[in-house]
Amino acid sequence: MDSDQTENHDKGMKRLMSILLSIAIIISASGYFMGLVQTKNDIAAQKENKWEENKAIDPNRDSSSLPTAPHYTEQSDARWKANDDWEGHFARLHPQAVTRDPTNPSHPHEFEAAIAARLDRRAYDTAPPVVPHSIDEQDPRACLTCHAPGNARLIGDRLTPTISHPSFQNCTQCHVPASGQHELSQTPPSTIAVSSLENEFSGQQPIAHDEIAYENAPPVLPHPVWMRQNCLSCHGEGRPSAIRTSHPQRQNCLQCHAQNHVLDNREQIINQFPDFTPIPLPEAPESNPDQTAGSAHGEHE
Amino acid sequence: MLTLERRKFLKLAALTAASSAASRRAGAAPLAANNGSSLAGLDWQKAPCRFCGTGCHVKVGIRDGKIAAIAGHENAEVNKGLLCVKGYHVGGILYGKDRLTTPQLRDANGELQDITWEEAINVIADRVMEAPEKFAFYGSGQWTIPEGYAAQTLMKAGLSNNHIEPNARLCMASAVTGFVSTYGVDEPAGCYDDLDHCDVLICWGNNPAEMHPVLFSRVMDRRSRGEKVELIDIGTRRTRTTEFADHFMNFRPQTDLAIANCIARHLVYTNTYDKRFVEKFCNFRADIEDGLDLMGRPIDFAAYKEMLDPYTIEYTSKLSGLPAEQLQHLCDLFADPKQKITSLWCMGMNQHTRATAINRLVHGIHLLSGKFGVPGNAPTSLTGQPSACGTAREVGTLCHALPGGLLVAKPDHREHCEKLWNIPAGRINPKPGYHTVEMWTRFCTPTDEGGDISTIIVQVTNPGQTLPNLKKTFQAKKNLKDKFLIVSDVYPTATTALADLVLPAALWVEKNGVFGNSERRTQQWFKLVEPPGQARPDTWMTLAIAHRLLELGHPGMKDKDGNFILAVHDEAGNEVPVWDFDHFYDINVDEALFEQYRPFTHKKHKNVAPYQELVKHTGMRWPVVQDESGEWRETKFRFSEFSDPFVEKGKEIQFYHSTTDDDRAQIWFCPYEPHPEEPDDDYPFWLCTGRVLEHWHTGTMTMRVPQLANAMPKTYCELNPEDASELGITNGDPIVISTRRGDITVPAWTNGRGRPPRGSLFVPFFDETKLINELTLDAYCPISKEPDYKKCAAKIRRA
Repeated sequence: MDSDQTENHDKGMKRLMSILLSIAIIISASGYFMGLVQTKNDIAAQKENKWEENKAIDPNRDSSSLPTAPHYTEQSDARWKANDDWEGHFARLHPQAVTRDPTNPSHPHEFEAAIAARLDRRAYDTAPPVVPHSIDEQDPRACLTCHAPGNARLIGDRLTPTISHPSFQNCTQCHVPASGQHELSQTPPSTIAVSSLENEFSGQQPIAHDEIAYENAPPVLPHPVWMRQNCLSCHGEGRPSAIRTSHPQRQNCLQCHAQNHVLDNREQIINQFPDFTPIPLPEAPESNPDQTAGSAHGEHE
Repeated sequence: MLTLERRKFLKLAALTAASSAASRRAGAAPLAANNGSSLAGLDWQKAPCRFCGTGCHVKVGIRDGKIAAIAGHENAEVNKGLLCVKGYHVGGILYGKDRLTTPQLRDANGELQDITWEEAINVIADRVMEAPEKFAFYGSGQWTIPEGYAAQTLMKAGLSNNHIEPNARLCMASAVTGFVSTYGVDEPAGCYDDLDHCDVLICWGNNPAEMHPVLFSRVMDRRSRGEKVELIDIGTRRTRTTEFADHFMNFRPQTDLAIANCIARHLVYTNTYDKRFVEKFCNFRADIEDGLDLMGRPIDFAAYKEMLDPYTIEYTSKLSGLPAEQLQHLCDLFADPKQKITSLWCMGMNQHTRATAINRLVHGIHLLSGKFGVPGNAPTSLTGQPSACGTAREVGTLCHALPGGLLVAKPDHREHCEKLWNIPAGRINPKPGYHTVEMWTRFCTPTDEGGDISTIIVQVTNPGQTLPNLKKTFQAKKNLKDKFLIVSDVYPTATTALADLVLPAALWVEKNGVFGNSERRTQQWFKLVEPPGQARPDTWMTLAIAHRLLELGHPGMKDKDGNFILAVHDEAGNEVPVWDFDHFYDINVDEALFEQYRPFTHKKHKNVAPYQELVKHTGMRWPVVQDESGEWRETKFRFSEFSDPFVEKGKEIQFYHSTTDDDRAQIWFCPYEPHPEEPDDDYPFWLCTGRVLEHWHTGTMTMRVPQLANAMPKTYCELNPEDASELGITNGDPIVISTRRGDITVPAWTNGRGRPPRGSLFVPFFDETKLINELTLDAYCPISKEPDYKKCAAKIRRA
């Protein structure tokens, strides 16, 4: 009896709970959609104000403050302050599975594709890459929001590259957008520096060739390490599959991979007057023994 | 026909020689030779960067006779391996497809027709012979030292004509008058080492984050090492520099004069100035009673104090728009003996109708507070061109100057130079020539209306885009048939568009060169690649013109002994006919001319290093003198006993070229005066012009590099969002900017890279399709003759 009563009571409670729960769900769901409608109206109202993007940025703003994020309902077609021409449109991003088991070597064509993609953004191998998206023109440190160590973000299947020389903070000193002035809509967005200009400069190609002492020996670095303090910026997890380390558990890269003996700024720079085959003078010049090519010893007055 | 054949042969011979030299160099690097595959035949050489006055050293990677890579030079003290985006892409400037490769003369129909070099040199020499006194030479701070020296010698020692000017008149002439009237001799006493030691860096109307990025990083990267550097940005608009600043002091244009006076007043009236320093090393000076001149008049401390009296914090705050707390903070920093302060400035203070005054005042507050002469305490002006100091200032390619900081107006200076040039006494004309604005205005004025300049030769600069008020100072030439413009350049420009004769020039490492940077550092490089087509070095052009004048019988082309004034001799003392291009590289003409020039630098103790010493280094800061062991030593801190070999023992600080002959520097008082074209009801905006990070000056070189041109393809007008809203303008809208001199249509950019306050506009000048200098004011500082590109009155409307 007691147990029955308890059972009935429990059943009643359960029924009550489920009714309450469904009411709550209905309210919250309708509230959600109401909210959406209102937000869309709000946004529509805002869009009528064409001066919106003219709003002054508070000059006294905290230097760590960032541009306001767009509302989540408009993320799919929002004009992001810094990245709006990059694949920042979430609707278009499709996460892809990792293509390669870290312990297996990459296919040569994958490797070539990775190197080609790398060179696309550089005038020559080792040149600072151009930025494949528009940037915050004002504050170079805005770059660090996504590119600082520990700040990498996964956008689709891409992880934002981590700065490999964190002690340098004036990013735009060396890295400029592939197509700038995006705000002025003068140039179509581009992720590489398209040469609309006639220029015959032909940059040095990557000189990445395996240099291995014997089979299974750790390869020597195929590129300089100047301004590349953090190997994992390019070779760490989440980086392009073809150049990713096969042994991410090992952190001290230079323990096994020697620096290249012909790179790394050990080039011999011979500064000398260029050689020219002397052309015989038409006739012997008259000598002027009184004149010398300038006195090396002047007086100090 | 015969000459053609001969040229072909010579070209072949030169090619063979060049490739054998290259292989020899490769052979000298056995490591590289053993790893041809990994180095891909890259041959590394050194050169200073082609662009700004910072003077970074780059490594140039050459493959098959062409530049294929660039790297920062790690052993260069200036940049320590770092470059900016322009420097990393400097190799691309050589390879634009529209390089000028043949001399061209404009025919009767106004079309440019190819001619030979011989014809071109003859045309020039004939024009000069026709009226040598109406001939003018216009060069730049991108002239190498030997190029500038050759032009200087041709004009002043040869033609007795002082109408020679560099574009540097438009850029650092006011820094010169500031240094000369304060210390008696030009160029900064400090150097870039100050940036490594200062506690406070003050940027006076300066945006080094974009314009001198390597120097800016040198300071700011100290923060990432945990050091504390306070950055103060005293400016008229927010820039990328502002983003790093601890304090942004947004002042009303022109009131920098009052701000400097306010600091001086505080130091004097609160007795916090450095009494020992001032009593030992300084005098006081003010402008003459009626007008302005370079040297002014002496005043005593009491008079100085009285003159400063009006510049209270309250008064200055009202005038400048700076809050009183900000002014107080500046005053307190200078009053604190523990703070090491370095001031940096560039065009903001120099392109100013009272530029000499503001330069003097900033030197003055450093002297008054004793923030001078020890590492970290320095008033330092930066230059925008790679050899504005080395060539324009040190070789003195200005209408009033002689090599080594000497002056045409001083009889003893003329006599000294006549001796060194070995020319007859009295050859140098004692009357200064026309300064830049005057020279071009007269060129653009009809001959019968006083336009007494009839021919100008332009080398390494683009006045058709950079002169102020272009319609008056340049474009008016179009209708003057008897005026003749000769332009040597590497690409077609706004200047070659009006040229009657266009000369194709060798660029950067296509020739030998020597530059001098902002910190007195002289840097040398060798020719590394062949110029395209018939492009030739500017030094050769000047030598060839001079020699042609000699052949035509111009008496000035001979020295006292009847020898050619620009003769170059080999080791055996035989003259080498370098004016004949076939023999130009028989000898290092750069070395020969540099060594002829070097003794000129001794009189004012600006001793540059011997050429062969420069070959060994990535630049040396003058004065460079030999110590007891015979080693050549550079000088980091001038006038300071611990560093400068010319300071007498026990003097501590010695201004040994003092204008008052007592080893003291001058602390000047100069009043605040309003700008000649302040905004009014008709033209309510301030218009400022300037550079951007990606482009260097008129973009002649950088607009040919895809990475740079794509990043910053077109000019624009920065304006305040509230002004934009009021006028119905939004981002990207075309707007018409008008001044009393012209108008231009450019897109508006609000909240762009730089952000001006209300009532201010900023337009970069790199875009040759939008000549903002058609709008700028040609008013100039009456002492330095440098125009004000930073301020004039404008109005805008939506196009």
